[in-house]
Formats: sequence, structure tokens, C-alpha cells
Amino acid sequence: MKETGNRLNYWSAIGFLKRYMRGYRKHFMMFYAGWLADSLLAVLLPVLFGIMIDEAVYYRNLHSFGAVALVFLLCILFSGGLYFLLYAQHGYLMNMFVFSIRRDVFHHLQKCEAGYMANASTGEILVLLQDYPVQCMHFIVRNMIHLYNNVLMAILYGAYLCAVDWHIGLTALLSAFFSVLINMKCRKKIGSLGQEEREAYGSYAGWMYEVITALRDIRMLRGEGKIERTFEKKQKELFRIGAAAGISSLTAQNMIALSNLVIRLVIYGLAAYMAACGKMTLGTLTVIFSFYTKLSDKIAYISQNFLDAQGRVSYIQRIHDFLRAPTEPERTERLEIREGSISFSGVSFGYESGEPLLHRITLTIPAGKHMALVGKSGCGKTTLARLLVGFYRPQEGMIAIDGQRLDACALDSVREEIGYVQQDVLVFDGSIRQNLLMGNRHAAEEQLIRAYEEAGLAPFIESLPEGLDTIIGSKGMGLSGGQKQRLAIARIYLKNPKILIFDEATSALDNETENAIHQAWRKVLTGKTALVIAHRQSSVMLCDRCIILENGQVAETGIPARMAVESERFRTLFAMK
Amino acid sequence: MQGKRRFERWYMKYMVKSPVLFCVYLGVFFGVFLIASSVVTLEERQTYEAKINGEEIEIVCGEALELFDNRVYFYEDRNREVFSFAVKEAAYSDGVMRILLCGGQKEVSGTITVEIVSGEHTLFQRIFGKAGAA
Ligand SMILES: Nc1ncnc2c1ncn2[C@@H]1O[C@H](COP(=O)(O)OP(=O)(O)OP(=O)(O)O)[C@@H](O)[C@H]1O
Ligand SMILES: [Mg+2]
Repeated sequence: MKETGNRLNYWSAIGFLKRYMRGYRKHFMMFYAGWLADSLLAVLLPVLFGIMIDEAVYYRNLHSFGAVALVFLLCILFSGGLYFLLYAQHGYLMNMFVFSIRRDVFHHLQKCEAGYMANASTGEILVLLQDYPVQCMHFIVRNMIHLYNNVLMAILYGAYLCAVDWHIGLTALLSAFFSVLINMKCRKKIGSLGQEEREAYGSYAGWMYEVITALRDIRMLRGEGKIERTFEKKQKELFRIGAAAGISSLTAQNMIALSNLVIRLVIYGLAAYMAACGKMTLGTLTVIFSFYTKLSDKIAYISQNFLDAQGRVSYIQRIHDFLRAPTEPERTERLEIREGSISFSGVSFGYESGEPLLHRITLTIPAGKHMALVGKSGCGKTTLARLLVGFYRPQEGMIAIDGQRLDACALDSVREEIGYVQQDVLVFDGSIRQNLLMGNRHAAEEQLIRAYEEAGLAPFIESLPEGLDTIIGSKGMGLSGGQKQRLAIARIYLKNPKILIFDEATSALDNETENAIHQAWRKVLTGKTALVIAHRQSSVMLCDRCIILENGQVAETGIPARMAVESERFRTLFAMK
Repeated sequence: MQGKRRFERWYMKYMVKSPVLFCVYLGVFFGVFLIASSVVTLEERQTYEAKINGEEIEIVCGEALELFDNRVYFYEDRNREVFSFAVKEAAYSDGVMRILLCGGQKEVSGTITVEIVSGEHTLFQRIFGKAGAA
């Protein structure tokens, strides 16, 4: 997928997410307030503990000790309940917030221009829909809420240390500063390797997804060896990056641990010296130890968090870009077909990634006529059909139906009026009935039966014990190529559009099936304008006229029966002696 | 099973979807904490250098010291032992505060540190006013 629009930074990423947070503002505020209370407790508890120690150890003041201990206990109990509520909130927000982003992405996916989608891999779209919205939630929880609270806590800890003794406070702050520097330096290295690792893994997952969906084709092509070698290569690459990241992360972690240890020893030494001189009580000492440990933890957390935020912003960027990808234009004019004549005038087109494919194609299909479109594989027949249903827009020229410009019409009206049987028929997971109803949601039972009878599926469906309710698709029964085509014809029959496009499957069928399918065609074709992309001579013969496409241009047109005798091109194409 | 379902629904409605109980929970805690921390009182202590002689402590200071609760703590090294005694009598004259302790002869003599209980403050004041230090 290409990138569009501006680059997001931390703040503009928040601005982007705000739109989705708006609906759950109350919940996010509660959630934040809860975590804030938790952070304040984390500062308070060591202070209370220090007071308890002083009262008990020095002054043997058990009454005060007991009273403070009760307050301490109260805080602990409260924080237990608080966690319970916070996790419930987290679960709720996770569901709702992630869902609202996912819904937007999915909605956009439906309307996205075919040209844009063609450049994206399935794996990529899958993570865009599944993983990145979750990363948005992580961003809010970790890189906003926890980050702010940790900064606040670090300030409070630092302030406390300064309040107790400015020597210690200053040493602590200086040392914290140094440890941040060291951490940042090391972590940056780890971060970039981690990023590389994530990316390698992402591309690996996408590739894997595509391999798994195409497993049968790979086996057919005897491509297992090559795929296995690619698999090994990718695995090795992943392992290499993983190992490099692991090693540098280990050394960096040891560096960080060592420097933190040294600094900590200095602070503890200083504090212990003061305690030994009687300048500091044991209680204060415990508080200092605990606070300094926490302060350096917080600072490490904050610096790490900053790096993570960068990574997550790039995920948010992907969603942001995707939602700005061009969608199919919204138009208000409806396509209204009276007779159904189609005309292409001077239409040129080429895919974004490839060379120009169609050059100034001009052709007319008169209303009610059936036009066969033939040509070598890859010459752009399917592409021409896609232009007609508005998946792509011609770069030059125009297409008109009954004199109405196609590029002025709302695309849903175009697709309502044109029935398109694609080269590879899509079968949805579900029952045969559901698959048929895709053609017309309101069809009655009798209409369904008529449709499959006309499509020549009756013997097949009636032989199934569950009939129309048999589950087909990836979870159910598989259908043969011929059955799929007939299913598609039955759908078109139910839809009953004025214009039909048949993109004949290239796979060979036995004579009997071919005849059955041709029978079905004849029934749905009567009285309709049709474009038949034919790969078989017998299919061409069903049509009134035939067009041969060559080098992106109309090379020849004529009546099929005559072309079979006279046209050299036609005879070569269908290997006629 | 039925009861569990009902509890789940109740929980979703009042604890998760509505912020009221959550706010009440936070509010009640802060209220209770404020009350508890202002009810709990702790001794407020002032520290002085002093000399001890038998059962009498002499503190050189600018003005008369107020003794709250008639109790003093003193020590040579706080980390070894802190002694706590009731005050029998206290008097101030010529810049020296003399405090007579109950209970006869003490084991220490010479220069010591004395902590005089000079009043009371609440736990709340201790935490937020003095950062927890005594
Ligand atoms: N989505 C796409 N993006 C980029 N190039 C494409 C895309 N779809 C097809 N092409 C390319 O455009 C050319 C024409 O493809 P098209 O599917 O129109 O051929 P066809 O005439 O239908 O072939 P066949 O008879 O094999 O079905 C091919 O070279 C193909 O690689
Ligand atoms: Mg094709």
C-alpha cells in the first residue's frame, strides 16, 4: 500500500485517535482517574511504611504504629478493589474502542478503489484489520495513561527525595539523568533491531498466509521445493535478526544493569552514611531506598515507553493512511437501462503497476445482442469487463450505456443493473440457499428452485440429503468448477439484470457439462445484452457477433460462423486446422 | 448458572458501563482516607543537643520549651537505643531548660540528643507537610 497524506507524530496520532475516544470519553476519564489513584497510592504507601517503622523502632509507640498500620491496610484493600474495576474497564474499552476503529477500517475496505486494493497483500490487510487497532488501544493505555502517570510519579519521588535531603535528591536526579542517557543509547539500538524484527515477521506472516491459501495450487504446480526453500530462507532471516536483536539486547541490558547498580550503590552509601551519623532515621532510609529504586524504574520505563510510542505511532499511521486511501466516488445519478446498448469509445487503460493495456478501444454492443470477446490470455479481456462494472476507471475515452455516461453514475446502480459472472466464481461459506440469495435477497422459495433448475443444478441439489441447506465453501462441501459456474448462473438468474457479462472459466469441462452450462446460458441470455468472454469456440458460437482483441486493440469483428471459416486469427486462436 | 448470568449483567450495567459506582468507590476511598489520616494523631517532636547528669537533662536554648504530654526521648546513638521517660519537673532559667526525669539514675551520661514531645499533629500533616519525616 502506498502512503498518503501527512506523517503523524506523537501528538497528531493522539489527535487522530481522539475521534474514536470521543464516544467513550467518560470511560476513558474513569480509567485515567483510576490509574492516577493507583499511582498516588504507590507514592503514599512507602511514606506510611516509613512512619510505621520510625514509630515502632525508635519510639516504641505502638499506639501510633497501629493507627498508621490501619490506614496502610485501608490503602492496600482499596488498591485491590481498584485493580478489579480497572481491569473490567480495560476489557470494556478494549472491546468497544478497538471495535469502533475496526469497523471504520472494514467499512473503508468495502468502498476502497479496486486499484488501491490490488496493490495490498491479503496479509497486510489482515493485520490492518486485526492487529493495528489493538495497537491503538495499547498506545492509549501504555503510551498515554501510564506514561503521564509515570512522569507524575517520577516528579513526586524526586520532590520527596529533595524534601528529605537535598544532597540525596540532587544525587538521585543527576544519576537518574545519566542512567536515562545510557538507557536511551542502548535502547535505541535494540529498538531499531526490534523494528526490523517486527517488519520481518510481518512480511513473513503475510507470505505464509498467502502460501497457505494457495497450497493446492502450489502442489499442482509441483512448486513445493521452491516454496520450501523460500520458507527456509525466510526462517533463517528471521532467526538471524532475532539472534542479533537478542545479543544486542542482552549486552545493552547488562550495561544498563551495571550502570544502574553503580549509581544505586552510591546513593545507598550516601543514605546509609547519613543514617549512621544519626542524621536520618531508619524509616526515612527505607523510604529513600524504595523511592530511589522506583524513581530509576520509572525513568527507565519512561524512556522505553518513548521508544515504544514511536513504533506504535507507525501502526496508527498505517490505519490513518488507509482510511484516507481513495474510495470509489459517490455519485447521485442512477444508471437507468431502457434497452441495454453498450458503447466503448476510445477507451484506454493500463494498471498502475503495469504498461498500458487497452488502446483507444471503440466498440458497440447493440441492445439485446450477445457479443463474444476473444483473444490471447492476458490481452485484457477481464480488464475490459472490470471497466464496464466500474472497478476501474478508463484513463481516456468513455463508456456509455443507453447513451448514459458510466462515469457519471452511482456505482451501486451500475452493479445493480449489470450481472457479472467472474472467471473464478466466489463461493461464500454458508448454505447453498445463502449463496443463491446473494443474487437477490428477497427471492422466494419458488424463485430459488426455478433458478437452480434453469441453471441445471437441479439433479445435483436434489441428490443432497439437506438440499438447499447444504453447507458449501471452505467449511463445507467443495464444489466442482462446473457446479460453481452454474451456481453463479443461478445467482444471475435471480438477480435478473438487463446486461450480463460472462467471463468464462479457462478450465476445461467435459462435453456434457459444457453443454449443460451452455443450456443454462441460453436461458438467462434471452432478451438481454451480453458480453461473453469466451475461451471455447462452442461458447463463441452462442453469440451474435465476435470481437478479437489483440495488442490492446480491436483487431477484427464479425459473425462467429463466418469467422470460423474466413478469419485466420480466429482459426489460430481456437487451433482450428 | 442463572445467578451468575444475572450477576454478570448487573456488573456490566453498574460497574462497567456506568461511571457512577466507580466514582463513588474512588470518592468514598478518598473521603475515608482523609478522615482517617486526620483522626490519627502522631507526636510532634523537637530535637535538641543536651547534657544529661544523673536524672537531670540540661538544654541550652533561647526560650522556655513547652512540654506536651510530659514525655521526652533521648539517645546517644539513635540506632543503638532510644530512651523514653516521663518528666517529673521542668524549669527554665537563664537560657537553660532543666528537665527532671522520673525513675532515678540513668545509664547514660554526658552529651546526648533529646527529643521533646512538643505537641501533636495529624497523619495528614505528617505526610504532606513534612514528607513523612518525624
Ligand atoms: N489488478 C491488476 N493489477 C495489475 N495488473 C493486472 C491486474 N489484473 C490483471 N493485470 C494484468 O493485466 C493484463 C491483462 O489481464 P486480464 O485479466 O485482463 O487478461 P485476460 O485477457 O482476461 O486473460 P485470460 O484470458 O487469461 O483471463 C495481464 O498482463 C495481467 O497481468
Ligand atoms: Mg480473464
